[in-house]
Amino acid sequence: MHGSGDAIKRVVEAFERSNWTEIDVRVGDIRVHLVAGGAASAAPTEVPATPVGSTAISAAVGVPSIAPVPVALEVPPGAHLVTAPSPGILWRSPEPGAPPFADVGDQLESSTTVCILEVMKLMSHIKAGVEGQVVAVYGENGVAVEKGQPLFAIAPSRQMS
Amino acid sequence: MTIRRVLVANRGEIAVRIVQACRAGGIDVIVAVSDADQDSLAARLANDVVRIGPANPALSYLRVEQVIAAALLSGCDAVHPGYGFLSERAELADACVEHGLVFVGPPADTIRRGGDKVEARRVAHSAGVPTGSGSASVGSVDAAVAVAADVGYPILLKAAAGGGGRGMVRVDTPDALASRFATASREAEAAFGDGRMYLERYVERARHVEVQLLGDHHGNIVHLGDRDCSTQRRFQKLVEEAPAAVLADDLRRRISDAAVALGRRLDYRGAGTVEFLVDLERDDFSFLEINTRIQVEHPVTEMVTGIDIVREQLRIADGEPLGFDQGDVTISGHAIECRINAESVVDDFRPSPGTITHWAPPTEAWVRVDSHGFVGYDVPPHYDSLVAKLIVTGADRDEAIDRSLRALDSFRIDGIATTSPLQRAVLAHDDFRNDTITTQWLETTLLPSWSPG
Repeated sequence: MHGSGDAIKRVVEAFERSNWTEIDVRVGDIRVHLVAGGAASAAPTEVPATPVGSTAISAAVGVPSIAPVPVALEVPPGAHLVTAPSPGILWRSPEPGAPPFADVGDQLESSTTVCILEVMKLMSHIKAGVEGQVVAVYGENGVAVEKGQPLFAIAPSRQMS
Repeated sequence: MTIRRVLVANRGEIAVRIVQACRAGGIDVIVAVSDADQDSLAARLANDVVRIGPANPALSYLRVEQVIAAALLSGCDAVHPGYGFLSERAELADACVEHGLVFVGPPADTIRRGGDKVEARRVAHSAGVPTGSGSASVGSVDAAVAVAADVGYPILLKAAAGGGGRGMVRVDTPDALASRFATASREAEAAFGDGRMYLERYVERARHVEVQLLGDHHGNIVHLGDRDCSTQRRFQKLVEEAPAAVLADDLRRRISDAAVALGRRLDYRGAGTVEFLVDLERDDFSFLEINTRIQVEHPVTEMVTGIDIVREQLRIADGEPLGFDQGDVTISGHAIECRINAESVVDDFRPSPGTITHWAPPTEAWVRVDSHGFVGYDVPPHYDSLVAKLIVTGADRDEAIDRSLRALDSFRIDGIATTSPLQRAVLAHDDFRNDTITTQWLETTLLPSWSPG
């Protein structure tokens, strides 16, 4: 019975009697995506408990949520790049809603935290590494980043020899 | 069994463990997977998978409505939450009941009272269980600093929804408390979906001892003996054993009596663990927390009692009475578990996600490996670092140690760094052999004198 019409009906009924805002689950080639108060209708809507092709699914969700690395980073001459020391999730501020640790134009000490990298549930503070001014920010809050991916560019206050 | 098909709302080794328990019991099993876990071992062993969202656990494993919808869509009649994630969120147990699903765990009210560490301290106290000094939950840095001034430093800053040592930090000064509060709260939010924190007085020389409980829906509660989990780094257990060999008979009995008393007070149903700090010098103990779920280290208890705890969870959830009473539970031999984590011990325990290129677990008769690892598995960065639990039994503690050392030596894992060299050092140390360690020992004695590699 899994993924059957009955099962889909149970999901839709559960959605209608709950205050859930959205669900999106898939079994095999069945996807059930329901959004409350959708634009098309006022009632807890619809959505196509539509069978979709498995090819379409893998195309849609097989793409990892990795932040696109700009093909050509605009790195100002002489700037120091802060890169991710390992794969992880990038957090730009100490808590949700708080201002970012560092943004373009900020003047930083070498020991200033520029972001948090979450790896296997551990939060690592990433430091600027040089004294200087932030000239570019490459990563977005909450995205997965790869090892070595540039996160910040900092123009050093003193020319390094 | 009336349960016919179980949804596993978890990942990693515990998902594998639950899948295997279901299949052994003739129950269909479906695993809920994030995009990062579609090709996991649990997914391969299950009857089928339901995809519940992106790798970020806040958008998948921590969403109650996704889990419920996954169970309904896949035709499941029960949900097993494993440990971590939603396992101690009463909302999931409530939602299961609301939508006609069996929750494999205690009732929502028990989870609320036991899983909320602040409330649990209150209930333990009312059941006559000793509790140390500490606080109710604190909502801000300022409140935390004010409470800590009363309790006295050092203190432990702990997640109210925590467990397994996550979101927990030792703090020695008001300044340190102010600087750590937000991060600790966020780690708790990320791990458990609840950022509330509380404070507890820090005990310097203690052993961590816990008691495994099983309760059914017919008023029966038994304990399955104790475990010693004193080998910890940053409150993360690295080596666990059963029984807690360090306990004298009288203290052992007082501790298990306290655990059962708390279980009775909570009308406990399902598998649970009551954790204590034990002060051997004063022959005394105090309540830490009750975990209303399966525990990572449950296998050591299984190995010395012969009782399959996950199977019992399923039977209890199905309404069956326990098939044994306290007198039937006997402890035989000794078991040790090493939690092998994907972390680099030569690089300050830096997490080491990546692809496993070689995987050769030991195969001796006295070795059990609970793991989701295999050659080619890509250990993702989004979740905790546990990759294998190496569980070794012996006729006595010395034999279990000797065999564990040989098993650690022969367990080859390439492609990721693991904590295995540290566990080898622990088991080879005289202090561990002589059982004289405390919860501080690893960090204050072993690590400073140890050079890995």
